[in-house]
Amino acid sequence: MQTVPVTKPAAPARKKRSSVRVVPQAIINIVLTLLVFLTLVPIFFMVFSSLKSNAQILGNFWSMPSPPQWGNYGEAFGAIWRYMVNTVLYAVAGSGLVCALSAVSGYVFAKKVFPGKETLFMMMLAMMMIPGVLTLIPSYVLYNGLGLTNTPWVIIIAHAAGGQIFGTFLCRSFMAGVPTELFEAARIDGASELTIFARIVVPLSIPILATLFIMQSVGIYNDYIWPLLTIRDSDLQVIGVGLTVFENQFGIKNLGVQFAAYGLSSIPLILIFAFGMKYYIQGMTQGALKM
Amino acid sequence: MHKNRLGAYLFSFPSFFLTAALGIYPIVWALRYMFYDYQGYGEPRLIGFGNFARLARDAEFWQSVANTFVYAGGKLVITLPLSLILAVILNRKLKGRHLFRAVVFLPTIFSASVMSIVFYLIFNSYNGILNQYLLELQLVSVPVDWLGASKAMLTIVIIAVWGAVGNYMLLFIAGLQSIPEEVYEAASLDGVNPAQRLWYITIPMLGPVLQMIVMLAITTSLKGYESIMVLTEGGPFGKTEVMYLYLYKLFFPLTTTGTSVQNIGYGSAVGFTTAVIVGLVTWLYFWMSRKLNNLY
Repeated sequence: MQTVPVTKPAAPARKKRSSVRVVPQAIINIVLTLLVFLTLVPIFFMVFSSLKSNAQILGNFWSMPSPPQWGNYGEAFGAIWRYMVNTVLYAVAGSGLVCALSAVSGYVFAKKVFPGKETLFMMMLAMMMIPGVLTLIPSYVLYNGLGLTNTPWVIIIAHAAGGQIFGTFLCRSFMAGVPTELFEAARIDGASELTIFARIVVPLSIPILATLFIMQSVGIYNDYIWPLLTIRDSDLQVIGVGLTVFENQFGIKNLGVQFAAYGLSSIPLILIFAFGMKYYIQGMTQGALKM
Repeated sequence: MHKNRLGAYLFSFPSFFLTAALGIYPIVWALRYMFYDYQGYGEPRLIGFGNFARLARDAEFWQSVANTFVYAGGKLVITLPLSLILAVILNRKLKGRHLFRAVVFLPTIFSASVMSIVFYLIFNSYNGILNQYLLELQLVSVPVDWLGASKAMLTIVIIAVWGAVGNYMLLFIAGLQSIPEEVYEAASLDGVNPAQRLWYITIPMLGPVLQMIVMLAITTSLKGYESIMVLTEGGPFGKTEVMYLYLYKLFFPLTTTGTSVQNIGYGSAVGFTTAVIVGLVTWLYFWMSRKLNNLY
């Protein structure tokens, strides 16, 4: 009822404002366009150059590629498709595992009471401060001892183990926002813990799990040092390492092919963001940014 | 209640197991070698706090710590306001805002090592694109040494900002979406201008989210090193050496620089110290933002 007197005087006020706003709007547009242009310069440069030969690139950076070297893409695809397929599979498996583990322990940390909970949680936070570089060598020794090096598992499990700590942190803050009464009502109705988890916790957590999945996928997809250390077999190698193959395989760097490979290799991530951006933001809004 | 507790333990077993077996073991391993002289081969020799004594006198390390703060500070001071303003603009019902958001976010997708090669072609002083244009437009008379001793850090920061703005913009947009529309409507009735609106409504209303984002930004930028490694390897003369890069080189000496040798014992001590530094800064920020909150 109260909204009626409030909105009515607002209408003329807004009309007046819009005429005043024309100038700032123009400035905003100019600044925005400039920023977008600056953002795109390196990417445009990469795309332009991917259609050129070495001589064309070094001769004039901004000239249109004439004639365009479409063959660069064929050559690049032939060289990296295997790595791309591998990495996408690792990323899906690894991120899926992270989501499963984090959903469970996030729920436990948010809604369960058990001795040592605070200590365990503080330990997990402390672990997030440890530099990844510090544990690379001992991790290698450990995975090598387990016989996992040079198998897909060394990538998948290592990312699952590392990512679930951060994931638990995210899921905990998200689930803390879900009213406890919901679980109690289900429990009174005779639902088992498993049912509660599968039917209430997981469906409610879809936004944060999507956010987590995307973050982890990007992490695995762009990983370089860990696979470089642990994977020797070229058939199992990931894209991050695969992209450096060009520098070593041919005596002279073929920059055009290299840029074409960079462009191609970014397609899976562009796709995941094109479809997942909305959920990514949603998950952030509802949980990731709360303590 | 008892059954409930058992359930909690059972539920989180896989997660705890992975953390304990694969997460904690390597950390303990590294913590042990802090007290050893160990070059990666031969027999490790127990030297107590020898590595820390060396660390205290290691001017190169402390220089890298100072550089880290310059790098992180520069990155934060540009990235955070820029991404907040972009978020405010692109959170409005603007035409084509989804396209703008996607474009600003695009750099985040590319890995640091990939883009660093592109940036090298843009910034290098010999035939970099930027210099060609500056010379052609007669803005400078001699090529600017963008990767030289005096400008390298600036260049590194610019590249870091390029890669980070999109991500923080998204985080801010996520935060902005939790601010109720009515607050802005009430403000527009009172004739508040956009700058006032940002300062007096948006930022205070973002409150805890803003704190979280800043904390995230601080820890990430203190840990950044990959693009620096590809672009300058910490040079020239250690001007862009950050502590994580210094640490990395102790474990995996870079072949082209050739000066550093692998030293796992000392590296573990450096790694522990950097973790403490990052932890301390984060804690300090946390403590200060709590204090500020209490003031209001």
